[in-house]
Amino acid sequence: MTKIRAVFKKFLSVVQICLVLFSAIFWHLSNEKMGIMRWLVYENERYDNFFMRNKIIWTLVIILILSIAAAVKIHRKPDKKYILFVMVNFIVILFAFKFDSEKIICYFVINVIFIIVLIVQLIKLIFYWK
Amino acid sequence: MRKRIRCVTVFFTLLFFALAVSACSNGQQSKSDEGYKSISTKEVKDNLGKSNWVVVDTRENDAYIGWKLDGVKRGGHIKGAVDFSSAWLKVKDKDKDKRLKEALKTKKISSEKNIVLYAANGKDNVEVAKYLSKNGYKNLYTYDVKDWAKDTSLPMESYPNYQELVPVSWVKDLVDGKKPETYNGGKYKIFEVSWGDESKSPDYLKIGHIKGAVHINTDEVEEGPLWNRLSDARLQKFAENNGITTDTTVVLYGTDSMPSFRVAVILKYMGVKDVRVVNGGFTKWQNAGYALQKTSNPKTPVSSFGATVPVNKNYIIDLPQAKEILADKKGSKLVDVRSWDEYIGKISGYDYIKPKGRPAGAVWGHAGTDSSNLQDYRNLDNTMRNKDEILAMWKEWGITPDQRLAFFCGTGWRAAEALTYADVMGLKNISLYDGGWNEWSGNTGNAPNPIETGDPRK
Repeated sequence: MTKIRAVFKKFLSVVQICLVLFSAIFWHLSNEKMGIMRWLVYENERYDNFFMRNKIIWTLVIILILSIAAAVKIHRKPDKKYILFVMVNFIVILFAFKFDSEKIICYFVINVIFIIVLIVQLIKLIFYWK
Repeated sequence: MRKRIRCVTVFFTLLFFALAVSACSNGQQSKSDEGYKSISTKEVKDNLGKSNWVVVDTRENDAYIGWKLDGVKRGGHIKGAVDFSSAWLKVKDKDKDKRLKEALKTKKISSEKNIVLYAANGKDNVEVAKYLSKNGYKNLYTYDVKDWAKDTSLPMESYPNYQELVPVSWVKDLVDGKKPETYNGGKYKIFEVSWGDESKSPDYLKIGHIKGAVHINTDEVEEGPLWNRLSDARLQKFAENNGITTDTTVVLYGTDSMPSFRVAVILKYMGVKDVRVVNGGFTKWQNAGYALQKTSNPKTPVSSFGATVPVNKNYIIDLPQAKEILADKKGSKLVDVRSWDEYIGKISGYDYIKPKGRPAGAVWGHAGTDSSNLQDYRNLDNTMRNKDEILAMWKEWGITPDQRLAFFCGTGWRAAEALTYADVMGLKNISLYDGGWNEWSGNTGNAPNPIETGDPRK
């Protein structure tokens, strides 16, 4: 059982790395390929109509609150990893606040990827606490 | 001993001479065996137009449309001749053989006919003759078009506005400080046009560019999510920033010519009097072996464009005028320059356009295999296709030169190329519907307009 847990943790880490790499590649392509840029302009227009930016920021804030709550409630004494996680979460929130889809064309895609990565990290920190 | 050496030397010298003479005469024999008989001007004239004869212009497409190249006294082609350029044989394309065979069929160049292949440099026609012989064609004749051009009583035909599509040799002369044909001697600017800044251009810094050429990013003239042209005030600023006035001779080119045509149409709408696009694009410059510059050239702004934009307002139209055109069923046509699958609504053609179909009442103007190709309007070497073939293609859909024609595609690139060709052919009442399918379909949240799908002939 412990082995399965360890394998699953590694799998989650691989997923996180892949997602971060994907966001970097996507950011690069959005500046290099006209088709991707135009697709993003079109999608951004739709997301803006849904107030997607606000939703993203709120989601990130909720993840931050949850992670702090988890730190206080479950672990009592958060370690370095936990502090690093909270800091990363904070930086992502700042990023989401500071920029928008006009400044960074793949803003929504990158933020959605960050949310997924943070949720996975939160799961790891809660369920794999030693 | 010395005598013997002399005898042997003389013997071998004679033997070598005999072999050389024999090789030469064999060469002449094989040439005549291949059937490349030359033909006189009188014979060409007498047989021109006969059903069992076909006269073929094998020179670069530029010469066919009107340019005086290779020392020919008059520009254009022998009236009644079809084009089959030797340049097409050198193109690297996976569908080359298929397209060459299709071209032969379209131009009615068949093996049972007598085929006169003419050129001005004595090479182009031989290259085409070799290709045809390899494919089983027998009755091949070669002819020098200079002889025809010398006699002004013999008809030659040029496209009315051929000067809008320039050969690379013309651009080379311009860069070298000469005064090429149809150039007024005023200020000129050469631009390489593609999407993105110059570092993203497929050639500008990576392969190189024409000496003095400045990069234009298509985003300098259009803006999403509709990808229509910018406002008139912003276009005027774009021109001034690039050093363009109404009197500047503007030469545009790119690896893919479509962005150049897009900018060319916008410049004409703005009021630039002399806009030229390199026929066949950057590849032609590379193939000619002309020098390339790899360093970036900065934009050199001017203080004033010289007129208030737009000078030619009706050259680009918007949604209300497109509706007017559709309402006038007899005298006007809204011409869809998208692939067949886009026209019938099978695909939208773009990742960023969701609705499928066409404006109700629009006719199909042909295009290419997908949204980034325009094979129906281009030869194999990406030069402009034969005017008669374009007109015949349009005629099938009731599009005639006397009508008011507005061309559209997804966002105005393909349609801009078709519009420029219509301009080169001398059509008068023509325009670009800028919004195209992206606007008409309501893709970007605007109100959608009547849409049709399927084959309208069924």
